[in-house]
Amino acid sequence: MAKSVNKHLIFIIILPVLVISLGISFNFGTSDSVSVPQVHGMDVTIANHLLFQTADNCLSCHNNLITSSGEDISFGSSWRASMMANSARDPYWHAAVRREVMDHPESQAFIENECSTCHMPMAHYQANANGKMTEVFTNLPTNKAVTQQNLLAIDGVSCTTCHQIQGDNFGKRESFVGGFLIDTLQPMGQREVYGPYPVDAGRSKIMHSSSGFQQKESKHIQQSEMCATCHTLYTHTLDSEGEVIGELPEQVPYLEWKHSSFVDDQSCQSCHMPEVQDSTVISSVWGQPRKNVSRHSFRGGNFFMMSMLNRYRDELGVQALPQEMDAAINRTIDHLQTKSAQISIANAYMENNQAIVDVTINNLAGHKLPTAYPSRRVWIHFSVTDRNGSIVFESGAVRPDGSIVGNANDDNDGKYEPHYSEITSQDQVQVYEAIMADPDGKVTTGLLTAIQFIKDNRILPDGFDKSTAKEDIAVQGQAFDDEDFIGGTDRIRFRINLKDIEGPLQIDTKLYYQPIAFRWAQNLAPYDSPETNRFVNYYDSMSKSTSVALASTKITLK
Amino acid sequence: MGKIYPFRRILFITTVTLVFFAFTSVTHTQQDNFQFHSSDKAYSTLTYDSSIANPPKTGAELYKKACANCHGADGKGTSTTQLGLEVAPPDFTECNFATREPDGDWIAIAHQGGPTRGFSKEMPAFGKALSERDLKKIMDHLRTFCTDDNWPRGELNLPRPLVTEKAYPEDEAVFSTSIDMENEGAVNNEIVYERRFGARNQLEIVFPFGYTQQRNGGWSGGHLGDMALGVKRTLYHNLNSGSIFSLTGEVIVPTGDEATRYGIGTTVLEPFASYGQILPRGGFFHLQTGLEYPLLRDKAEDEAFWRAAIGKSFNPIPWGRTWSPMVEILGSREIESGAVTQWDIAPQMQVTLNTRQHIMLNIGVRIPADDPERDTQLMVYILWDWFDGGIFEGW
Repeated sequence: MAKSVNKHLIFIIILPVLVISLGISFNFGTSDSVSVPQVHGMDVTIANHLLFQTADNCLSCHNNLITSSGEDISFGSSWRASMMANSARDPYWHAAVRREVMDHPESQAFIENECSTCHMPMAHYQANANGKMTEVFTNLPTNKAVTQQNLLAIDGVSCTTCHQIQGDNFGKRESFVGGFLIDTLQPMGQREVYGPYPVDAGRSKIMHSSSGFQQKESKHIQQSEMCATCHTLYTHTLDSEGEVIGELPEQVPYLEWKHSSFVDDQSCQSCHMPEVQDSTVISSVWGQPRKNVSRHSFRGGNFFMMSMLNRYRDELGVQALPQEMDAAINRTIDHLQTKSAQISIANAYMENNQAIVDVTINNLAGHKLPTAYPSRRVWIHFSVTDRNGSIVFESGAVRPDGSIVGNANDDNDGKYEPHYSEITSQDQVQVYEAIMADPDGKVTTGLLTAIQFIKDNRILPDGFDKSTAKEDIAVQGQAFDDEDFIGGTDRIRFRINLKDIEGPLQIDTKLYYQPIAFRWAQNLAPYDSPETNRFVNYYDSMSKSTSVALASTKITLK
Repeated sequence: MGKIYPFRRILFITTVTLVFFAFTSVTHTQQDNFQFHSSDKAYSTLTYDSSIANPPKTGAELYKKACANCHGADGKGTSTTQLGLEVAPPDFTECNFATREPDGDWIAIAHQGGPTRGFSKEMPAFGKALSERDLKKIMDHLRTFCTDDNWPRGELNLPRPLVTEKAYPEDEAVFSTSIDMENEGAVNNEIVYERRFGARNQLEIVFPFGYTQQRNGGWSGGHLGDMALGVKRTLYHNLNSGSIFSLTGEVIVPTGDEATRYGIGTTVLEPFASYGQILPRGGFFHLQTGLEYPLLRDKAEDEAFWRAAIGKSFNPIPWGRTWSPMVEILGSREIESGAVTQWDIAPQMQVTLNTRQHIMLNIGVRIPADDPERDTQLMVYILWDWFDGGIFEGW
């Protein structure tokens, strides 16, 4: 009996002590869940290598942002309907990359890596940080994204791309062509994202816990140089064997802006991310009112691609809701029609049975009009109608297929319209555009085949001195010698023979804009690939709405 | 001489229990805050963000500013399409969800973020943006979304002792084992499945099976014992007083083989009452008492039983796992003249194993206090609160 009791006593003493000791050592031996060097359950190895998060990590808090006037400026929904968000879904880009790969098959890896820099920046930098080249087509189609790399790729130019860019090399040549710097050393959880506002210490944990990023105030993200990192693009010209033989300033709106009078007054962001006047919160989760909040709609000019994305949204994997895309399209067209250009008739009179009409175009933008990717063109549609309502002269009418009547380039891919200072014939059209040529001077729309611009009469921004402009932004062709083609404006004379035509005459002028010119689309048709075929089909199905009038005016000439 | 030992044991156990409580109270700084499951030292370090010019004052205002974006002004949750979230926010108006957990768990998530309790990182941590006072105000507002008072609050779901049934109707699965540590070996197992239905009711099914040591030293068993089927109904619950009271009717059916000692050969009716009480400073108390009525009296005797458990929950590391030391006193007596009342004492420790805290381990010993000849048993259970998620979630 005594032996048994002693045994009980041993259990009574030892077991509770054992349990407590075991438990306490277990508790101290395992790290507190809060301070574990993991990021929201993410393995630390992944955290060390993960540079970005997709926008859905940001969207849920930065939505429902309503200004005091009732305008919805939600960053997430504004952004996801923009071309920035859809840069990797852009079917024209898919087709263009495929065309370049087919033209230069030996350079496929280089081409895909290069083109993904700005169209799939997160996937590109993630892959490069891991010592790999980025592939474009392995991440497509975008609505079949499976892996983390796929998801980063299709998220396009996303929140944690721009807000992680550091300002150290801003404005320098090495910052261009997607040469922006981001920190690749800090693991997720310690990564910094930059914003223009002072960081409220009390709130900082809210974002950090849900995104893995630490907020840091820095106004460098409001500088034009930020946008210039991707929107200043030099492409390498390749010969038939894939050797680099030159360089083309494919798009340089930042350098155009630097050479304009806008440089001291307005940044890229001030126009493309216009500020809200009233104070408004930037987070719907415990946000506090901020002044001068920048809208994240990234309004630009490519209404046509937005329409295409919306129309073929299922095939292209568009995330923005249809109504969000519609709103973005309307915003873009409104931006084009109010902020890009004016057209006016300076003089109009009759002289020796000829109508003399001087038309003036004013560029309101802080860069050339059109600017950036060279598929874009602006042209004058000029028409004269007699007293019976019959058109007696017309230059620049657009056909239902998107081509321009009388435009040599649309009729023949080896030709193009020169810059005119005077138009006297209906087969002459004033087209403001950049025409590329290969080393032999042959007109081309192949980016990596082109080595020069043989025509660049895009309307100059105010303050732009064409005589001092460097080669990258130089006026090319006959516009250089046109004395009426100067910073901010171009004046063109229409001299119309009106013999035997009764007035009064109705003079109509319109300035049209087409983001993807007819020739740029149709030159893809000979390439038999899924991407090029798809895009040409899309284009043809929507060709009636490829252009929009930016401005118009009319007078009656008696 | 033999009658002295039980008193010595009781004295010893009481001493150990007091040591437990004394030990844990060192780390416990919450003042009489029984809503919180844990002793969250971190609350006392929270500061209000004074930079807010016109801070919201009421719980509703605070909720609207901090929570409504995702959880909806009406508590029903905003759509995932609008939020871009993978997982839809829960519906706070659904009482079945909204009443299950104590304020302390919800506040831990709001303060430290979803991962602190094994949930999505998409639930952010408000850190110092919201003070303890603010969080409590928000919780008070959040509790108004469920308008049906029938549902007992999660605070009343006290830690489960090894033997004593708790009064809270719960969705749980429990795998428990007791091992005889003296004399002939025996290992008895139970799988208990509990499913709540409605606000106050619970269905319980018990699958016992066991192994016994034979005289030749070998082991036999693995057979199903006498299964039990029970229905519990909570008759009274009150968060303000911290009390909950339930009645359970259980039928033990003779599914076990009497010949192999895994069944007693008769159906047994077992009605019992359970009472739970929240005590100050993280403490709690259970009481259960009932009767066993075998339908065939030649197989077993009527028996009454009394069970009680006292314990305390604490968190050595703020926001970390919860420890709950308990002591049970278990008594039973056959209802016949001259029968001996048997008393057992069971010190034990329950600990939550995972971050979500819905997988728990309890380990203890059941010691006969009146008769040293009866076996001491090592008892262990693993409890899975399956309403809170899968067994592999939240680690």
